[in-house]
Amino acid sequence: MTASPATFRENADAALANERLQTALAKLPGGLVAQRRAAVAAVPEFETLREEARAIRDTTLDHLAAHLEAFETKATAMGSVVHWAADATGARRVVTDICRAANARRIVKGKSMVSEEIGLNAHLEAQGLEVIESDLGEYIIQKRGEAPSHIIAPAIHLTEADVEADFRSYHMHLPADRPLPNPESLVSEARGVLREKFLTADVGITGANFLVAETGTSIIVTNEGNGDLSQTLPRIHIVVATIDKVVPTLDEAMTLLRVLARSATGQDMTAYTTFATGPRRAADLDGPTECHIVLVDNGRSDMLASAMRDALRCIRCGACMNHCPVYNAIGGHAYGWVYPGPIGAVLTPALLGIAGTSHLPSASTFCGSCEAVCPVKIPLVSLMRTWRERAHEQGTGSRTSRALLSLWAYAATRPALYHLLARFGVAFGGALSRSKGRFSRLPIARGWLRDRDIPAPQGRTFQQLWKETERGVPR
Amino acid sequence: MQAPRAGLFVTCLIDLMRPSVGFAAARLIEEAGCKVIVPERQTCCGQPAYNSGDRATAKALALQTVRAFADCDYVVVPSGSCAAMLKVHYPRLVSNEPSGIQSEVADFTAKVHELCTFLTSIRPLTKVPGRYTGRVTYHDACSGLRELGVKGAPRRLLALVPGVEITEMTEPETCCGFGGVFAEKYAGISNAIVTRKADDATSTSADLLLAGDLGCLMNMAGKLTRDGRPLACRHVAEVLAGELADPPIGHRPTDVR
Amino acid sequence: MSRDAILGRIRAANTTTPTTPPATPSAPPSLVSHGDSAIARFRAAAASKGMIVVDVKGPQMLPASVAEALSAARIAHGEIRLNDAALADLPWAEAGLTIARGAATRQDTLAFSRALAAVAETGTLMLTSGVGNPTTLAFLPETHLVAIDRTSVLGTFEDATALLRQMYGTQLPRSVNFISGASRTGDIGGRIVHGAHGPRQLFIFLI
Repeated sequence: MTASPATFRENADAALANERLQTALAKLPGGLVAQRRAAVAAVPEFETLREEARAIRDTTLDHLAAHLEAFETKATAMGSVVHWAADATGARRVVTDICRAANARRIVKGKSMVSEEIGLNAHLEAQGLEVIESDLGEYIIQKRGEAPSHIIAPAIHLTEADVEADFRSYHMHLPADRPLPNPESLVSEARGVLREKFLTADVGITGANFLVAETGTSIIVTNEGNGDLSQTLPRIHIVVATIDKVVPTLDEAMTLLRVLARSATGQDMTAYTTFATGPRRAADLDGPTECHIVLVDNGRSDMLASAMRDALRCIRCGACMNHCPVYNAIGGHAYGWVYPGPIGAVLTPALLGIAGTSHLPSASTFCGSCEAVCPVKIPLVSLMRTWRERAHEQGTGSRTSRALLSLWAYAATRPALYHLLARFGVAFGGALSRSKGRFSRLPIARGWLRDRDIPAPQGRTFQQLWKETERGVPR
Repeated sequence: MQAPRAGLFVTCLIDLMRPSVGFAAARLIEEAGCKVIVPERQTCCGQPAYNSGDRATAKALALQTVRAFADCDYVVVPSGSCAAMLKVHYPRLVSNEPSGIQSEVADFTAKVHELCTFLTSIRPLTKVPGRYTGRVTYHDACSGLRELGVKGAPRRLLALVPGVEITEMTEPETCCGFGGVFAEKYAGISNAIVTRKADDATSTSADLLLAGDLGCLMNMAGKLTRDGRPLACRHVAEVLAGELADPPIGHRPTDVR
Repeated sequence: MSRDAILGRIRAANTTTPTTPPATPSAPPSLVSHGDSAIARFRAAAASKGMIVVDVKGPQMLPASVAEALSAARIAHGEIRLNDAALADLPWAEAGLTIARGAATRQDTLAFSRALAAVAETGTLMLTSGVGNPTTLAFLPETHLVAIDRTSVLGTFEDATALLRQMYGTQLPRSVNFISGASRTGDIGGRIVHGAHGPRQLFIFLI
């Protein structure tokens, strides 16, 4: 993948021209969006739940250090080893060291966005370890060498036909002429291949949806059960989680779970929600013998001190992207980094810096659909606007558009001048276009005019006409 | 008793592109028993600057607008997005200003109303001047819908127009892809979004697509005319006021309908 | 050291007066149920998630009910893996079924667990790991069978956490599994397929 946030425009053009991707994206409104709508409609108190979820996340962040310390103490008491990593390099090192100490060769992974963020797979592979993504969507894109295009549906950009072609080329140990007529057969094949990996892996790595300070527990929320197999079968379980994942008690976790799945997939609960606490107990017949929890900062403590603090409330449901018209048009890869959609447009500049990422918060219509569905009420539009302000202060963006904005600002803050210029401009524009009713070609606004007309102005300004009439009697 | 003074915030797009909407709005405000005032010291609400990250210009325009309407009892805005800018965002722009300015802005925002809301909740109309025989569909422009809750008001007003039948889109609340500068800066994405909107609107088999925001309407009309689709676009105020003498948005003068 | 640096940065960021934590939220009224209504709600919610709910008059009847349910679903009566002592003592042979003790292995096709509780709110089973309930039973075999006492059907997740605290304090078992249906995925073409990694089918025996 050469796409980066800096090449957003080119990425978007490529995405718009990609018919296969467009076919895949067309399923979103009738899929995840419709499912969420139904799930929310089934709980009349959903707005109250959103407000409670927001409050839980806010107050937890207010006392974050204390909750993290409490989590560490409890998790340690329950037999887990807690590690801290300030950044991606540190996190990768911690995980590598655990794998090395255990003489591990094969690692299975449950879905984890932070592991994408810190580039964990590539690093472990460079150390000679075999890393297998076990979430079906992640498995598919890992084989393709792609990044996830959605935080909960990583292969949402692919069609069934894509997956069939991929499986035929990867699973060479299976008969070439085997029938793979439907998703069921593809799932069944992946199940067989991955089952073997689960049973022979030395280490299982998962993320965490939440960490519970009260009990030292990590929570994962899945539908496939791959996360559970990853954290049950291998002898070592490593949880990689960012520091914002902690909640004080089981009760807060439950309230957040109530909004998570409903917002994400429209399920009231996913098939599996698992509370994992420490390694196997003396009497247990299964489970890992070691449990490590890596608490990763990687920019979160800086965000806590910044104007982007509210974005730390995110519980990674993906609803903002499902409901985003821009995401629906171009998919996730065009955003060029780990987190796509509105939350990505806020997080990516926070984690990578606004230089080189300013397209992301800029490429929004500010329609507000994301905010309207966010289960923890992150003010995504305001946060994107704040990034636009930073970009404006730092002078990123094209000189032409800045110059035009300055010229316009000069006139707009001088009403008499503005109205004079408006009269001339509109008279000129009207004369050029009125007979046709619209402009189809102009030396400006070429982007718009490529696929759309610009309606003609009526030829005189309202201010001008109003002055000419007696108290607004229509012309 | 003297009629209340209702300041019309014209909006820059209506001022420049489609003054007939301004007259339609003025007529409706008069129907609601108000005297219409059009302050000359208004230009633009400031959204182009605000949404481009130019907070200083946005604030200057905010204060200019607030002061232009100082002697009005109401400020009525025939655009959901400009109304939201005035009502919701102006206070945020001056949140670090001295309390005198903050209260000046607060007094102002209390007077601001989006046109349809004004005509249903503040000075309710029981009949409207317009009449239109045909099927219309209504696009819920984003800011008005999500920041001001404009949803039922335009539909209740349209129900007062003799001859109008409302037929809803599958997704009337989905963005049209306009987004101001966005429509040009990310034209390809904007076009993809408006393409879906145009498909949805066309599939209603309405003959008129209405909305309360001229920006969205210009975007949708520009797409529909380019693609040669017959569906015409007008601001909802035009139908309510019966201001239908001008051709629909983006249509030739001979295309009057 | 990373730990102290991270905690230091967090403390520095949290200089403003922290907000008071809100009162612990309670379940929204529309999700609350008790007693028989909880059982009815659980049954409906579990069924809507594709789980098959079988009523069993008493523990002794369980093997026969299992045999019948498996036959009805055309699932072969293979060896059933389980490790719950009370379940193991039931008359399986009389029902024509065989059981094997232990955690699940790769060959197992059927496994039997006992749920500590169920949550009516969403039709969810709550299983806790331990010697009688190895976690693998719930994930490796193709068909998962779960026994639950009618008296253990709770209304809400708050009731479930209260039970966990009552039984374990703050020392939870290694794994508490909330299971709300068979394994599923929507990752291929957006269509839901069951049996992604875990069980394809889930039977609940309500005793």
